[in-house]
Amino acid sequence: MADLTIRHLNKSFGAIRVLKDIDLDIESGRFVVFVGPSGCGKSTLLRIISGLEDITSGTLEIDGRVMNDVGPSKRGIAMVFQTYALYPHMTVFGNIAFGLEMMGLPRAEIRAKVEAVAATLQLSDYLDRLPRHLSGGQRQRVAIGRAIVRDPRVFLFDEPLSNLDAALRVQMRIEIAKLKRDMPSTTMIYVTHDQVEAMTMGDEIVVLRDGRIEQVGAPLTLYNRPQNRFVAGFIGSPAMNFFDVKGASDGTLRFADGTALRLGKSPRTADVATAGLRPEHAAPADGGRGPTLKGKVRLVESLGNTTMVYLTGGCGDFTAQLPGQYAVGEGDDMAIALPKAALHFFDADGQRVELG
Amino acid sequence: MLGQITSALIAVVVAVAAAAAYFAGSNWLLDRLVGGASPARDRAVGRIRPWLFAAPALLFLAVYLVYPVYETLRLSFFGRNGETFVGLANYAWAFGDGEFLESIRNNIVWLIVVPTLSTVFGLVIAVLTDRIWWGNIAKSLIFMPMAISFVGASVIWKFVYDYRSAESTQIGLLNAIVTGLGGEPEAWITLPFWNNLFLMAILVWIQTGFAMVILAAALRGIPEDTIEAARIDGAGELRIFWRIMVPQITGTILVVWTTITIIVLKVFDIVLAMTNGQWDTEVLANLMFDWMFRGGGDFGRGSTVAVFIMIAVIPIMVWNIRRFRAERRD
Amino acid sequence: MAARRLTGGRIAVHLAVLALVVIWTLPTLGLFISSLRDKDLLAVSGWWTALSSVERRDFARTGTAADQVERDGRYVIAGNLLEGRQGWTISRFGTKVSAPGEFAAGNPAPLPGGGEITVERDGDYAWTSAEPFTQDRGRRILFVAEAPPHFTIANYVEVLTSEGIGQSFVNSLTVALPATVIPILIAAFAAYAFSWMRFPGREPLFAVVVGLLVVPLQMSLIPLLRLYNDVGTAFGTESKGYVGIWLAHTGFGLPLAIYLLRNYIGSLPREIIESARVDGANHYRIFTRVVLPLSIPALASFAIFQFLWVWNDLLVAMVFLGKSEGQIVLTSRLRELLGSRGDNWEILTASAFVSIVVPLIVFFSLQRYFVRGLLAGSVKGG
Repeated sequence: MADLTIRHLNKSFGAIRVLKDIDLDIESGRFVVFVGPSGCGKSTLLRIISGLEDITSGTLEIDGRVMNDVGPSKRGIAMVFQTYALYPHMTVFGNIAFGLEMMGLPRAEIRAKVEAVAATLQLSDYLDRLPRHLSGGQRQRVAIGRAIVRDPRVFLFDEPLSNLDAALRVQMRIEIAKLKRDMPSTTMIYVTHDQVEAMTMGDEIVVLRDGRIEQVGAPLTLYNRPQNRFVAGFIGSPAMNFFDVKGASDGTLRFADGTALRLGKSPRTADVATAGLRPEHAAPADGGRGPTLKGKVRLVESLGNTTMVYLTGGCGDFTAQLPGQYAVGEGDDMAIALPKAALHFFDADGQRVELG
Repeated sequence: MLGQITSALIAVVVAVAAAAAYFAGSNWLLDRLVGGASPARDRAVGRIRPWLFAAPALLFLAVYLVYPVYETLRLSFFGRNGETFVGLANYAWAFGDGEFLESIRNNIVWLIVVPTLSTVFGLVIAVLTDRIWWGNIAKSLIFMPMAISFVGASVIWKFVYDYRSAESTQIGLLNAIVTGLGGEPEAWITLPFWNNLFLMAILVWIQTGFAMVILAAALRGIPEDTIEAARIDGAGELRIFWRIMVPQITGTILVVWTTITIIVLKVFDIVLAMTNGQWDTEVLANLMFDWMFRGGGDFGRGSTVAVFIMIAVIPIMVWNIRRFRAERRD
Repeated sequence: MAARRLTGGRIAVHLAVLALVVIWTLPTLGLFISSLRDKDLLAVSGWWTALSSVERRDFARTGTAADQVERDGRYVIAGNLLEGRQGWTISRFGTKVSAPGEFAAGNPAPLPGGGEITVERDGDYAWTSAEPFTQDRGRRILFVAEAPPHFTIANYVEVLTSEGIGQSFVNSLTVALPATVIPILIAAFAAYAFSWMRFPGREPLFAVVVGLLVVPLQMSLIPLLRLYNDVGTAFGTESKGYVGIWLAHTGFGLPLAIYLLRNYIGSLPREIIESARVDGANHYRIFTRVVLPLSIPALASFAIFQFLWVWNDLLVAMVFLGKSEGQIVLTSRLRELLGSRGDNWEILTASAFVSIVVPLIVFFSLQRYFVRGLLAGSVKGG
């Protein structure tokens, strides 16, 4: 139950600028995901919020209090590390209890709290075990337990699922989703490089690249209305197809292979340099009217529930994701429809252009 | 002089050539005489070759270490020239001999004080130097005494402990400090009981660097995120040190502590050079050396003292072997 | 590392480490500085005084009647009292032993025999008299002066030549070089066998090696001494000699060598060995052509370790080598000096420093390898 406010935050390691002028508001109780390619600064931002890294310039406020110089243990935060960071020489009980011991709580109270948390995480039978005798999933839960027991205002997750195999990852995602449900008023910040995790877990996503925020918004907002080329290409899997286009003020967009798309007259049409179409929105033209993109099928991947078709045409390589088991072979010609509603337009700087 | 160096270099060349000749020659012979003809012979080659590799080492170990252990034990039941069997007479003598009992007493104090102080200082210095930018230089300087011989260190510290009568100027550092603060100068290495501690200080001075280097490496191996998690959990620096860092390196601390213990048992140079056992500073290692040559050499008694040193080492030897085996099984 | 504010805590750490470093280096520094001082000063003042100017008392003789010149109707004998004393400044002088500092420099002092003498701070003096001088012996003038720090290598020269330290240095080298090289070769082959070859009893044998690591030297000395004596009488040779000590050091150094090298060789990637086998090489080839070159860092580490250990050793040298000039090593010689020349600090300090200079050079230039040798097998988790 804490609001976070970040203003003009900069972070440099020596001469290297890692975070550049970050402004961010996180409302209390939200589950926010920081996502971006490696090196974008998401982990650094998380560590700054935790207090493990200091701020070069700018302010961080939690619940209206400036936290720049406050130590990590006094910010009311708890963190789940990528490698869990369990104390290898302490039992599960010891690991979870440690923070409470540091707070100076009486023994009986510590015991009660630890046992309560262990119960919710199904760890009651393992309280006397050492971390090296636990499975990956159990260690994950101990790490979560250690964080929950401190009753934090802000919960931080640093790529908690990266070290798990695929099956365990799904299981843990459900655990974390449960956590979110059980602690609806706790603000949670979750860092990942996996955009699927971002889309499924967050109320709100913050996309970072190269130390800057590219876009902040709800998952579907980022999917439906990406504000720039980077976000458009980052969110959604498989990635969006991009086509070079030339826009004219008479409302025509000309593709590289000559295909012309007529849009309503708009002063902004001339600014458009790129058109984007998600593979899942690329449907075969089926003889309908309207402009199409033509290409030869290079490769077909049949996945059972969908078929991925890789095409090459006059406007370059592009991908179509078709539902079910679509019958098409390599070397076939295909024409893809260009539904205006599904197209995204970007100017020469990569910024989104809204065409009425 | 030049001739001597030349003969040393020649010895090196001859030794290397001899070793190379043995290894190359024996392996070549093996392949020629036994190998090649059939898979069975190849297997025979494979069975014999390891012994060719290991034979010289095993031979040296047997002659210079294994045989002597048995022989010393055996000689402890014999008289001064190793010929006459005397049963337990040497042991009876030992338990009645003042010098021997004094040595045991002193060794016990040495064994408690030196490893503990060296390890503690080493740990503290390792932790402190990790946090400052000139840490590596500091570590080098504290480690440096390890390169010096024990005799050289004894000269250095004899100089520090030097005593002049109260009217003259003190040239020893310790007495200069003491008189500078208004005290009386003392002949430190003759003071009963305390002189042992002054001798121990020399070994602590040397061994702390050893402990520091090894413990610093162990500290560096502690996962950084366990420390960060403790910070978030609200632990202060001292708590982190005691509850998070030290428990994660207890294995190394024990290794350091036992290694220094072994060194303490073997060191005779310091006592020999500083006091030669006078003023109640005698230790077992020095006593043994003494008996080897005293009055022409008493092999029986010397061996007996050596046996006691060995007994003190055995628990550590057993622990080392157990630990080694446990690791091999992992 | 997380944010560290420059608090009093940080400064305390710096100070604490500084204090520790000072305590640790002061003794050795004291030795070094002392070895460079005049020997008469060594015995009467602490080495820390050598770093600043010292007050010295001394005397010099003036010139004789033969040196006088006539100037302005007076007779003058002039010269400089501080010949050969670089940088001294006279503060006071006198003519009587009971009052060597009676007069301040630069002021004239009356002399009982007539005339007066003025001694300047730089030692120039002028002895004037109305009558011609008749002395044929220079007058003794005492003075109190400030002498700047003065260092000399005279002690080293003396120690290297007349005290035989130079010879001992060579002796130590003669022992150390072969005693370092021989064990390496023998241990390397054995280490490879323990790592990558199969033979019955491999594990128990290596466990024995691990056990031998801690066996004290004292257990080996008496039997080996008897053995050497017996061999000596049987072959009619001396039992104490260089060959004997080379072999002894080899034997004593093998457990550690085998242990260190086996850890290293055993940790080489299995694939390298296996691919060499697939290429048709037998173990001898694999060892000499692939493993040995790859093991050079470990060999270097052990070599430094062994060299330092042998160079600094006293016990083995005292038992297996004699005390004759051609055999006594530095450590042994140093110990003798402590006994026989215990009060001649100028000899002890210089000798000690000569004995430690080689290890110090080896240590500082090859520290990384030395440390790596130490760490092998010593670092364990909790």
